[in-house]
Amino acid sequence: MAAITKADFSPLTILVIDDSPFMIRLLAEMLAGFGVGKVLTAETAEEAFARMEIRAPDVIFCDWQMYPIDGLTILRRLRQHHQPQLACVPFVMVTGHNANEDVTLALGEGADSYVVKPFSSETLMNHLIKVIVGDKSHLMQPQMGSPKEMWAVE
Amino acid sequence: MNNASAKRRPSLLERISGPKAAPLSTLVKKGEAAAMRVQEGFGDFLGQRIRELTDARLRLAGAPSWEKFYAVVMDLRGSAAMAGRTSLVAVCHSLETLIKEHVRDARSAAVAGSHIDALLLLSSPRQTDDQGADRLIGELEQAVARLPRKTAS
Repeated sequence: MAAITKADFSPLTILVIDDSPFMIRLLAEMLAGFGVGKVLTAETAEEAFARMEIRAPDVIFCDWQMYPIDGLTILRRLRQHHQPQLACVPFVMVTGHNANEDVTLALGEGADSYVVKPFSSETLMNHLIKVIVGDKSHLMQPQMGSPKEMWAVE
Repeated sequence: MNNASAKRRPSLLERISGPKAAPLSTLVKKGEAAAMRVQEGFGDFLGQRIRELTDARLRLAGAPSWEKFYAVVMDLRGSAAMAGRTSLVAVCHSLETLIKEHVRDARSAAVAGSHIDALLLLSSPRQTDDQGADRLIGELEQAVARLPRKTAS
């Protein structure tokens, strides 16, 4: 596949989950700078799932080290979600840890990418493009009876 | 339901490939500029987090307090890294080692308190020079190393 050199992120909705007011603002502003159409934010797991039920995001950026419910628990809950569209949303784990076992654990639990702090605008863009290119969520059929629009299985 | 008549859902790649697509290099620069604007406000966030650590320091006898304390330290470490404040990152890293690898008792709470004092010092506008910061961080790391380690369970 040819490398992506241009993009218009305005049709996308991205959810940022982080309990740090500084990090949540930083990530949200950087994504808005990229031109992302709608950036939703949540400081807790409960808030995140409540937001997802109202509007399914296209991509999620989630901090690992949160208290009391961490990003790995959120990822596990998401991947077991009863709505297939939510269960397969591209998920980028954001963390201060870069140990191999942490990366392996997050990817093994279903994270699509893993970004270590500190990261630059370019790194953030690379991870966003990576999960967009690898996204298969459009192939999923939503649950029958879902109020959302029905999509065909390819 | 006849799938052939159903609308195919566009992929994320298709959705970002519209006629208004801009060069990624331009978007990265806009993201950088946004990050710099947010980083200018790091001082306010830092002050708030240090106040939280100071409050938590008074309640370190119980395990739940240590967990909350650890969460604030981890947040501060990551945020300081994003703001390019390496000396603050080093102090947080030393605190993280204390919490994860050493026995949590009154002595370790006192050493944690010294770390908070160091964060206060390094966050002030009249912060110590680089050599002074390195020396301070080295002393904190030595203080942590002298604490009894947790026994493997």
